Order: sequence, then C-alpha cells, then structure tokens
Amino acid sequence: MKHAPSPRTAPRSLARVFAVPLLLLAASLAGLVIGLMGEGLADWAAAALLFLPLFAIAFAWQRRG
Amino acid sequence: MKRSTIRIWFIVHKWTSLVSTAFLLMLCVTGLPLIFHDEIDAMLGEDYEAQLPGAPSAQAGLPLDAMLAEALAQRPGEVPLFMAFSNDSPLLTVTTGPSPDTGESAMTLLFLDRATGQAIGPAPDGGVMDFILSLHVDLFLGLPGMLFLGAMGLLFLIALVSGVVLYAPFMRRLEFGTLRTSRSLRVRRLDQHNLLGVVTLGWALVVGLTGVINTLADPLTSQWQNGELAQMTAQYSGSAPLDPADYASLDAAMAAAQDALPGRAPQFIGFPGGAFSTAHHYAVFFQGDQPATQFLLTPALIDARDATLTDARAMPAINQALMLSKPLHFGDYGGLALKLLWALLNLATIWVLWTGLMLWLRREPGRIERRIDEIASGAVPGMGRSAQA
Repeated sequence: MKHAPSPRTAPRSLARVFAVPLLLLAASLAGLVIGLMGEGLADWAAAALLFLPLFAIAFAWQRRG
Repeated sequence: MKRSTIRIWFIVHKWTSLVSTAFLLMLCVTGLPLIFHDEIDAMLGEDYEAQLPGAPSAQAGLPLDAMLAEALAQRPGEVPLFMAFSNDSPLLTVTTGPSPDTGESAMTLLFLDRATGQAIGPAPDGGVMDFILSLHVDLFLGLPGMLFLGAMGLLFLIALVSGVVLYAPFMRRLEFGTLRTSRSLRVRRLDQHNLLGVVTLGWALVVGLTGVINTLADPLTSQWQNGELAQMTAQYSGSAPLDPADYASLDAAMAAAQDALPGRAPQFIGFPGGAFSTAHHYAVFFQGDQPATQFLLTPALIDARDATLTDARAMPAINQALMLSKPLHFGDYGGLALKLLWALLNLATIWVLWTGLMLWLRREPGRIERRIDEIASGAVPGMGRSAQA
C-alpha cells in the first residue's frame, strides 16, 4: 500500500456509521411531510429541512481530502 | 458482515441497478423540466390560470349548467365526462367525448372562464411538455408502459436498500462524507456515489415509492369503482345506464353534494359512466377542508336523474395513499424553493446513477472478488494491490 489512507480510522460501530445519514433521512422525511401540512411557514420549514442533504454534500466537498 | 452476505447484497445492488438505470436516468432527465411545468407553461403563454381575473371557479361564478351548455355547444353530439375546478382562477375545464365510457384518446378537454361564461377553446395539446410527460409516465405505451416503469421503480427501491446495506461495512473506517480526491478515478467515483447516494436516500425513497404507487393509479381507481363505490350504490346495480338526455341539473347536484360535505372546495365532477363514477351518478370530489387534507379527495355521489344524495364516504386508505403520492412525487406543493431543491436532489440522483454506471462500465477482470474484499475490509481496495486501478 503506497497510500496512507488519510481519513482512515479505527472500525466504527454501526450507530456511528449511520449517525449522520439517519439524521439526514429523518430531516428529509420530516421536510417532505411538513411541506404537505400547510402553506407559508410550513413550506419554508420543509425547504430548510430538505436543504440539509445538499448542505452535507457541500460540506463534504469543501473538506475533501 | 460476513463475506458471503456482502456478496449477495453486492449482486442484488448490481443487478437491480443495472436493469433499471437507463429508465431511471430517463425518468430523472424528463422529471427535471416537469418539476417546473407551471413556470414553463407561464413562459410559453399557456398558463390560462394567471390570465383570468375573477373569483376561483371552485368557489363562485356563473351556474354550472350554463357552463356545461357552453362547453357542449363547442362539441355538438358529445357528452360530458368531467368538469374540473380551480382554486386560483375562474378557469373551469370540461372534458367531453362521444359516449359516457369514452377512452382517454377520444376525449376533448375544453377551457372555460366561469366569471364571464366564455369558452377559451380546447386545451393546447401536443407541445414539448406533453411529449416529456408521456415519456415520463408511460413511455407512450399506456397502462403496460406505466406498470413497466413501476417495476423499474421497484428495482430502484431495492437498489437503494441494498446500497445502504453495503454502505455499512464499506464506511466502517471512513468518516462520513469522505471524498478521497487524490486517489484513482474509481475511488473518487465510488466516494461520490456513496456520499450522494446516502444523503439523498430519504428523498429518493419517497420519490421512488410514490412514483411506483402512481403507476398503479388506474388499477387502484378501478378497484375502488368495483369495490367500495359499487357497494355504496348497490341499489342501482340492476338499472340500465342513465341516458345523457336525462341528466339532472348540475347546480342542483352540486348543492346536494355541498350539503353533504359542507365547507369544502370541489375539485372535479365525474359524470355517469366514467372511471370515477357509476352509470347513474355525478361523483363530486371535494378537497379536504384543512391544509393537511387538501390533497385527500372525498366523493359525494349524487343521483344524476334527480340530483339527490346517494352517499358520501372517504375513499379507502390505499386510494388516499395514491392521492398523497401525487404531490409527494411531483414536488409541486411547497412553492418555488421546494421545486429548486427537488431539481437539485434530482441532479444529485442523476450523478449517483451515472457514477454507478461508470463504476460498472470501467470494471476490471476478476473484479467482483476485489470489490467484495474492498467492502468487507472497509474501503481497502483489493487485497495487496496498489490503488492505482
């Protein structure tokens, strides 16, 4: 192995691996449903929650190795 | 996770993805303009809603009987099939056809202004958006095409689940969001595939599942018609279909329906003989009276001979799920911000499909064992191999 895999860490538990993905999953589902429940504020709350997955991509891209 | 378990999930992920990818790419690409169909229609000057001043046709305007007469004057010899209302403008649409049980291809959709009583003419047909919509909904193949795309959607859902299962062992030693950009093209694609796939999971599951449910719209409506609707109107089952010449006043029917379901906006009326009614009833479909229930339609069945109420009952749960699946699939229920997010999540999904396809196309001989090793070991590519692959 030439490459020292930089972000490599000790094995993590299943809970750790899925912590962020599950949070994003919950946020997406909540956003999709809240948007259905009303207008105005509900729409903005839905948009804010559904923005989180895209924010995660931007965040990962910004600190890419 | 055992190596043999990983192998099974890897093969499931590979084949469910491979079979459906071409169709999913088509659905994503055609879905992108469809998200903005309102805005595109407005740009092309085909948004009649925005151009008509006056009260919404669901609430007020000229008598429905007058509107219907105006519509039928445009199509002499035809019978009414549907009348639909708008919550935003006086636009009212009437669908006509040669007979009460006309198939979709022989129907004519007419636009009318309920504030002035004027016919605006037939709905603009054809056009690039209609082409895109037909491709997206059924590949121009009708029900078989819809069901086929539904099957592709089901494979997509299995691919999502199997992808998540493989994500677990693969990411054991990698932080969430790891993008190893100094590594080979394959590793970079794999990291992008995993990151974008897992963050868009919730959206993709919902859009995939609601898409599959939407492909079952016709069978689910028939099932309601032959089941609950037939039960509600059992006393009519022996009588001959009502002659269109004997249809009672639509305004009287609407008044009877609104007595049964007060305080709600009507969305459409299904005329006798169509897929949404019986041979003897006007089925007046009302929206729910709360923002949260506006997508859940409840029909009031009005005897079309004497305009009296037969029954009004909420539809079965599976049909309610179908009604909620439409907005949840189209993403058109939360304003422009939600539509823009829908488009970005769609683009992210295209990238997941594309990187997945590339990972398969650029595979190497003997690859499957190395890929399984890589997943099993937590992102160490191929045992003892350097990572220039």
